[in-house]
Amino acid sequence: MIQNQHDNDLLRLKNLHTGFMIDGELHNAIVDVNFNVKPKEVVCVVGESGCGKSVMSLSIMQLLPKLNSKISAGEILFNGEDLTKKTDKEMNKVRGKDIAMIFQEPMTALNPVFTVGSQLQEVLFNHLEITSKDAREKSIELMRQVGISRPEKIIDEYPHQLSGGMRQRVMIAMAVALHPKLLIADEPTTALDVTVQAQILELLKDIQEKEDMAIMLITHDLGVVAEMAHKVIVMYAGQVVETSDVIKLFKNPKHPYTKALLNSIPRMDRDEEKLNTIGGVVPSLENMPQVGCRFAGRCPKAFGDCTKVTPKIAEVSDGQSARCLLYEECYPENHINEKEEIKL
Amino acid sequence: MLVYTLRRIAIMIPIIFLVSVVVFFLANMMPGDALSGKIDPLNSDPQYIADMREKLGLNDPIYVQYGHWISGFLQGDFGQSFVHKLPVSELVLSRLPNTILLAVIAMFITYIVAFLMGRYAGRRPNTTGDYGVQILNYLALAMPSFVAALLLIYFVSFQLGWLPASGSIGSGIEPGTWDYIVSKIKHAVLPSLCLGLLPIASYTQFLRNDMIESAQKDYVRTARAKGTPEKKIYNKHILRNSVIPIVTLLGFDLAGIIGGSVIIETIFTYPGVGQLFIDSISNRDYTVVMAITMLLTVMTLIGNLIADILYAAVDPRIRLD
Repeated sequence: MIQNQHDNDLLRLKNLHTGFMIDGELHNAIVDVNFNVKPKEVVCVVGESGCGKSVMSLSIMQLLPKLNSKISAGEILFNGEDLTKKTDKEMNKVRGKDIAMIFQEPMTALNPVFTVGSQLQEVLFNHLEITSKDAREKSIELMRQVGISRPEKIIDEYPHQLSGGMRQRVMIAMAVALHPKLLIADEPTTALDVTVQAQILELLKDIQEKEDMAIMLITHDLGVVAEMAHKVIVMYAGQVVETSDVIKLFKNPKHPYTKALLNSIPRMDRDEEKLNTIGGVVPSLENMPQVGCRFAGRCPKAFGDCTKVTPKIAEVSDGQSARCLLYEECYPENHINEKEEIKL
Repeated sequence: MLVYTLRRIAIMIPIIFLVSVVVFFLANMMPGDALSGKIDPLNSDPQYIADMREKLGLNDPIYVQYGHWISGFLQGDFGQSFVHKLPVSELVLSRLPNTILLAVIAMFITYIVAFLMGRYAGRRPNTTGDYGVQILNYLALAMPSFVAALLLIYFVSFQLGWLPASGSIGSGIEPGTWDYIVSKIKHAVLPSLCLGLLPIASYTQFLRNDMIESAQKDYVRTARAKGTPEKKIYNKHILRNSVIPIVTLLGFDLAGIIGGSVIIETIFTYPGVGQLFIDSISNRDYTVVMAITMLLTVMTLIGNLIADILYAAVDPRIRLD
């Protein structure tokens, strides 16, 4: 049964752990991450700063610094192939062509000493046998498609001559140039102002529909999630704590963290004087609790078991999974429920 | 760009003028004057000395003397050297090609060695290879140029006999022949190496450090995300950014080497402008001293200008139009 469910997954993360070496010891930044992205699906990954969203996306692309980081366990299956087993050269064939990525800071993402056009053509030359003339024409066409006006002129300009929104459009053009099946967008609009943000999101939606492309959109902005997502993955302290269909997430969040996040969105339609916050901070990598729920210290619904029993993620209703001991499914096997103990 | 360059050249003129005033007055404040270098005060007739002073215009008010000097200067007459009994222009011009050869070879060696070592170390930071390069750098930085010169003379010239240790040309060689060129270059190699020691060390460090910093920049990550091979990442994306500071140093180097050659030329008895400068100071040959100081000034200013132009050429963010 489960086999069929995952047969046509575009991307599947299985039990992924990625860690960093700090003072000679391996500390996992993300632990036991499982989720899948289907073709043409838009999956939004949400979470606080430091929850591991970027580490996860960089792990997929194998872009983490090799010096002190490694994927310590798990598989990344893309179209059935395990990306963790690929060499650098093999990954280079995948990057930019099958999976593309755009980043958060358009201001620094482009090389300042090369023209925008030459950087755009670079992705073409990397993967195709193409003449300079054709590459240039294709680049102009790509820039037109992402909404850059007068592309014949912009192609010879340098990044510092363009605005943030235009640079991000160039990044998107570079990313979709070779019609990748999956686009990973790591907070693409966070550094832009709201009107530009709306335009870029429109553009992404447009491209997604035209190209039949899946998007993994990483963000901390629930507004973006509401706008773009089919499916939402909520991360906290390096773990996935909830996976849900987008409408169900907003209507009926399952995990206390998700509820707290939705609760802290300021409401314009109510007369509220105080903003709701989530007390406390995310535990640091070195102080991460190895047993029990990682959110227990800040959770308003925490009870005795929460610091003693490590919850596993489990499906708690149709299309929604959560990692919380409030749901019996999340207790690990062969564990006696606290409540049952009392009964006995 | 053109307007910027012209404006810079225009500003150079008042600076040169100011420097000439300072140089002239400083030279005049030094003990003795143009005449004392020529004659022996004990043996000469005081009346003769007084007459000569008058004749040479050394009793005129100082601004008049300055006026004479600067007007001569602008007409290409840099005066007469008292020690060598030659026009200064002839004297300096006979030495200048030697020093220029030294400068060119030194910069050649410097940039090639620094580029290769810097790129090697920058690509593999904190490895044994990198540590090796850095140790060499510290040695080169710590060693005074005259110590290096003496060591090189002893080992390369004396023990191994590979390269000559003094002069700029072998004896009895006809100018204009191939042998002449080879001999000139051979004589310039050791002094150039000593001249280049410090710049090699600093440029290697510069390049290495800049490469390590650039490797962590966002645009490198973007290039990787496009599937660009690692070699191209270094040789194209990173290097193209990291050479910017080095290229701009070329301009400053130009002037620095002419001035820095003073000690080296003396040790190697290499007949260049630097050696002439030192000799003229000790001999109180003021016309030569002033002429060479002005030359160094102009070269420094031109060097700065070249550095700025090169900077704009390699870094598109700096184009000023």
